[in-house]
Amino acid sequence: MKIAIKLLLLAMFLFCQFSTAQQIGSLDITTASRNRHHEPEGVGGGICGIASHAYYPEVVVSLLSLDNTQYNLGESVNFDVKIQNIGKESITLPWAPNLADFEPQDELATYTYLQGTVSLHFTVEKRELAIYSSFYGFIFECRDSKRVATRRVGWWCAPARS
Amino acid sequence: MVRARAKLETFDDSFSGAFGNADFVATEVGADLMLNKVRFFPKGADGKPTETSSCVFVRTQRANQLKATVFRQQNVH
Repeated sequence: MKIAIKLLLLAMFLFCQFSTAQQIGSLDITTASRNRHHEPEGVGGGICGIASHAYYPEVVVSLLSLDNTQYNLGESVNFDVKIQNIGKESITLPWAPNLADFEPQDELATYTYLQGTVSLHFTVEKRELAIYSSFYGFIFECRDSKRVATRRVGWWCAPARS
Repeated sequence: MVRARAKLETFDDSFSGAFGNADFVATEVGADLMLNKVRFFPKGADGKPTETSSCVFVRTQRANQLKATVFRQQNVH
């Protein structure tokens, strides 16, 4: 009986160890449409730099596969990327291929969204060619006279490494 | 996992110079991730729809690289 309990505990321990490394989401953005209802005509500069607070997310990005071993300039490259959270806290990623799916119909609406971009970096000697593909999560803000409610759609959470 | 597609384009001569006189180069390919918070304004400073973008800082590590050959010209292979 004791052996059975020990085996059970060992199985639970192993399950917990391996379950933290399991894939918890998959997103295909190769079929994404870029047709937004209201395209911006200008893009302003933003703030970018190392966060001043103590914690910021940390991920490992693995290139799982390329669809070919040879490419011509001008060709499309299909690729699979694994994003693994190795930080101590959960990280929230945008998780939808089309921004247009969440875009308000009201052309006068101001809104905020999170844009995730996976990039490929072709390196030869010290030269690098980077190409990019994006995915989205949307913060929909619903305002009335009494309160501001925020609903989030298109998000995906990567749990922290235990 | 994210399955993505992007066009292999050069926007300046910095990478094109890697070819030298050759028709192709052997490259190492790695992947990365960026996050940006973007705000859309239907009427910007000049009355046109605009966006402002700020990056969300994420420390990333590239776990691996794969090999790929890049040809300078179209329809080489």
